[in-house]
Amino acid sequence: MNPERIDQETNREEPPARPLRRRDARAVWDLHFGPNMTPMADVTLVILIFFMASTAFIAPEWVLELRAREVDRRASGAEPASVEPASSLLPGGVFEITIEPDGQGTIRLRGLGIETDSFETMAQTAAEVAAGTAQAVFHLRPAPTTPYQAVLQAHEALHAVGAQVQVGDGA
Amino acid sequence: MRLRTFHAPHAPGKINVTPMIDVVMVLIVFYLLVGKLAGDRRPAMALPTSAASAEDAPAELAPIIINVRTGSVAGTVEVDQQTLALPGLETLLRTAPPGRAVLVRAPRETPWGEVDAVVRTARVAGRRVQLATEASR
Repeated sequence: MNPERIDQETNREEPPARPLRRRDARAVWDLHFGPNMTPMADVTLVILIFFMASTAFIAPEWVLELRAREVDRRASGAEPASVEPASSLLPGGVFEITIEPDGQGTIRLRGLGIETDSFETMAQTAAEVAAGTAQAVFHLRPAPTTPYQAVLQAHEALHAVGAQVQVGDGA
Repeated sequence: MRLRTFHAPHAPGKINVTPMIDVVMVLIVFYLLVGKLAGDRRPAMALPTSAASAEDAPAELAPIIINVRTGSVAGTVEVDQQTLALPGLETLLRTAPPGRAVLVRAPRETPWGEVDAVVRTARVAGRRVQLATEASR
């Protein structure tokens, strides 16, 4: 119990002094209610950032619509459209281009009257053929051993010159 | 009668982190599920590249994803973590809901014959076929 103090000037009793509030870490901790959430929040945020970053690394994919040639064998019923030389084009022709790796692993393209290992050369030839033909369709026939990437590379080269391209046979 | 609400003692100057933790937990569960589903359906592989594929739109309905793996048993594919032979694949494609396209995923070094076998099977089953390629700009 604090002894009552009397102001000498006013001769009044002073109210009893309040004890000073402790400000040390222990006193602050005593004010907490419930568990300390800080470590959990730290860990949770790290996990969240990890999942956000790993999801972003899943690369987006594109799709290539595969337009395969329907079974439209010509009159013989067995052989597909013949490869016509560029100088004797028929209207509305379907032109076949075969893709096959040779013994050294080079991709050989055959069709439209030429044989080359350059996708660009074949594409240029196809562009010339397409310019002189109504609704020319270029049908890629890859050999089973052709790498998948080479098939799409040939498709891409022909597509780049505006040619209509089909890959593989239909059902 | 007016009820008195209980307020937990709160240290002055402290931020209430409980709502933040709630939201963060929900986000973590979301990313966990999305990552798991995406990983299951689209295993990582080096897809071929093709600039021509930039113009084609993905199928409207969720496609049936067929993964052709190199080194696996010849003539088998993976669909939803199931390994199937081509006859089994054809049965699956015939019984799947109509309208769903087939998305073929294969590494770029795969021989075309393996991809073509899947493509032919999908076409026999009357499915529209799309090839997955690596996005590049």
